[in-house]
Amino acid sequence: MSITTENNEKMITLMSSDGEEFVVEEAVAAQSQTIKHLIEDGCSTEGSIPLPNVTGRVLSEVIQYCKKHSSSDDKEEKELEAWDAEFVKAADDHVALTDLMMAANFLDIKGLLDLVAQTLANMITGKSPEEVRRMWNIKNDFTPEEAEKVRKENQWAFE
Amino acid sequence: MRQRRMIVVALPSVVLFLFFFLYIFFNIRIRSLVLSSSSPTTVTAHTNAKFSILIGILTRPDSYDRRHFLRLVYGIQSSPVADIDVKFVFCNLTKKEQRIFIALEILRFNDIITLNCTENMNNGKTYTYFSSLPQILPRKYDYVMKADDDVFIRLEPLSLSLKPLPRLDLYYGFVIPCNSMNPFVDYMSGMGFLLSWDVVEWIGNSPIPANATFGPEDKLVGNWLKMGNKGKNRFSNKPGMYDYPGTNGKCSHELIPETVAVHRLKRWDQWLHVLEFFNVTQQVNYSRKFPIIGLTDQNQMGLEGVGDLALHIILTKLGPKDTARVACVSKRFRDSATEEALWSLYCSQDLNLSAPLDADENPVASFKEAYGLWRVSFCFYPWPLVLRVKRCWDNLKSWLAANFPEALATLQKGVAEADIQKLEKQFELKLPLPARLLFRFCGGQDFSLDGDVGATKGARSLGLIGGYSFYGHMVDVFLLPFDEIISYTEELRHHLEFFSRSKFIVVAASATRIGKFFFLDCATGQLFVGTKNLVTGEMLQCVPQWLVSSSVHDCGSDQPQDAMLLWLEEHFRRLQNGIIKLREEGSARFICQFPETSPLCSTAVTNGVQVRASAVLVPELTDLNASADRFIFSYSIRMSLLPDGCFINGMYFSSCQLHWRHWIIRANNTVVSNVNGEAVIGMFPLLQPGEKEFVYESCTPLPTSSGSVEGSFTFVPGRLRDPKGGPFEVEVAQFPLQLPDYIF
Repeated sequence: MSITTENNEKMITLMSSDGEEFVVEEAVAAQSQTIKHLIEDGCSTEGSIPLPNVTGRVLSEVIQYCKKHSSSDDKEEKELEAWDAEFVKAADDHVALTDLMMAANFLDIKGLLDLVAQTLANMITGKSPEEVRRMWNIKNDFTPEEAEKVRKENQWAFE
Repeated sequence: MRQRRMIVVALPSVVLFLFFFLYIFFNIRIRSLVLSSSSPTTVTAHTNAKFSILIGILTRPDSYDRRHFLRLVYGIQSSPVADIDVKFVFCNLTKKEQRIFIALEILRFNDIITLNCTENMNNGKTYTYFSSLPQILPRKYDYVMKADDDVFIRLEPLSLSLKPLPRLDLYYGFVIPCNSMNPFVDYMSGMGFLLSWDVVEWIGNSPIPANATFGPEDKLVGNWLKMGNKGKNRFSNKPGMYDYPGTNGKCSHELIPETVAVHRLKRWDQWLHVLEFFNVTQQVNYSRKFPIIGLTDQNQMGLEGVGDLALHIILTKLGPKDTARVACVSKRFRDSATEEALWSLYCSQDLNLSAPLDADENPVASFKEAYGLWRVSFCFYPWPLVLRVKRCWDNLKSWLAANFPEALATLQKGVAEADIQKLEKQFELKLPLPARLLFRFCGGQDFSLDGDVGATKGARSLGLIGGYSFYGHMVDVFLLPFDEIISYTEELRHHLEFFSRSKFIVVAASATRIGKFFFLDCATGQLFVGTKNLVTGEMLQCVPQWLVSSSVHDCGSDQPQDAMLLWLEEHFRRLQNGIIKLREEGSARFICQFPETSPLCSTAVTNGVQVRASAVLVPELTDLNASADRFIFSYSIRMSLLPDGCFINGMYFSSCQLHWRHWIIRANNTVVSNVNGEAVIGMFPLLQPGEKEFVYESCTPLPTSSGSVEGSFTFVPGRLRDPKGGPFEVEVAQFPLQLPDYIF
């Protein structure tokens, strides 16, 4: 369904995996390369665009990011950086960040993907493998021999 | 009065009685649902114990969730040797809703003690707690503990550790400071400490604690006991009690099986880790009775749930070191962190490698392996410094490859660590780290490939640093090959007295017969060049002292920089930016040290005649002891006729010839020389349009370290023998003479 607002901005509707609908300006949504291609292919003229991989909670965050980044110009780079920092801080817990990462990846929003990847990388930096496993609830699936081998290969990074 | 201040939240005994039944009923139901074990689940269940403990967890009224969680944690623990009650302790309720919610908790659990105090740090809560217990408790305990709400106490190990200890005058806990093993040294940490009942009563009755209630509470307890000569039996349970790994320096260590208490559990993942480590929930069989729905889904969330591409993006932002570390996390991480694309990127970014080569340029199987081998080869050096030194050489080499390949061919392979150590041992010195690394990457220049013996003949023009020449004074500085560094240094130590007492090594010299030597002071990292009075030890510093790191041997510093590295980097910068250039002389080319660009090089054009002029210090002729002519400067004058020819009074001439020179030389602002004379170095250059510059060099002494030269040349259009018009003056714009910050 496409609506046109007073200032002639075309609106489109996005639908999350859990059925929540979001009406956003096309320019905002088009920051996602995935959605942009869907619009260009004419998929958005009728009904809403379904995003089966993104929940409403995550989608609303993504839209918040896209709105901010479509309304800012280059002059405000510093302010935008500060905004980004606050944005990822709000999504602080690991799971929310990885959800955001997966959404950014699926929706192909490079800026958001980089931002979240950097945040996740910062959280990993300086941590021991044991701490990384604990932090992300990752199972150590190495056999003792494999563990020793991989540790030996990467020993330099622990010195 | 003191006793009056304490208020117990007393409940009508009838209500208590009623709820007691409900409580038991409820507990039995829950136990039968959740636990297959038959161990008692209530903290108040009394076994046939020899002694009793009250654990009071100091918390705040609003921490409902934390209390709920702690009830679970302690509710499933018990001890075969002790009777343990866990209660929550806080000050007066201040909010309306607390009166209802906490009343509910009391009705349901009866495990709350409220004290007559206000919630504030260091405001006597601990004192109020201990001093009021004898009045408010319905019974005595053998021991009373005070614990934080971010500590996990294992009741069975706690009670087993207490079993052999005295029941009287005991002060038990984790002694501060963290690294001390002496329980009498100071006081027990607030994470959790325990007092025997007689000490608790003493606190309530003695004036000592009553008069010292304000301050760091746990420390105060230690002070009271000290002043009252109490707690003569002390036990510091290390390593059984500690702070969670990584949260508090020396007070922290990894989780161990013999744990009594782990403190500073601020986050859920920390609690999770602890509960898992001690197998607290192992009695629950997930699969049969209680399939925990979504547990596997939960596991897939988080970092493992992101796709390979996304993981790749995260890794690229991690950098090489952390990427190598996460390879040890799990198979999937190992696979992602081993991708060649990633390591090819790291090798290119850090090491400028386009193929997987080790530090000795041998091909290896993968970029990842190559990167690791580089790190291992240079593990004794700060890695950022390794990269900087490598970049320095790479830059120089690529400039040479493009501009001066014949000099590139003279560069030697890096020197082995063992050979460097040999030099250090022989001369009893320690090379600055950057210089050491510079040698690891390149062992100087060797001209023996030219078929010459040593570096004194033939190869006079291939010096990496280059030089100048005037009146037959030819200088071309090259980097000594490593074996010559040793032999020159040995020789100079033998001949020069000052040198034999120093930590200097010779690193560069002129390849000509001129004695120009550069010395690295291995003690300070500064680089010096000898003057005319080198035999007496007179030298000039070659790099600004403030740039040289104060500690050039310190592996802990990321970027120690010595003069040798700074000197080469500055030299490269000048080559790269065209500040100095190659100069051709006959068939040979050499790096010419006369500056080519403003402001050190001046340019003036008069009637189509362009004159460029610049100067360099000649350190090896400089004599700091001389009264007048202390500094010697060589200058280079480059003149040419622009393509349009010589233009005078509306007329063009296709040539002009120099006849006369006029120089004004200043020391600071004082004219020290005003010269008028025929020709330049005995020549009368004839200029024609489009021809190469006519270049000549001369020199001048100067009493001061800075000054200037300016002047003019008198030309005639056409030729001197056949002038086409009257003589005209050509300006030589002022150019500086100055002791430079970098000397080459």
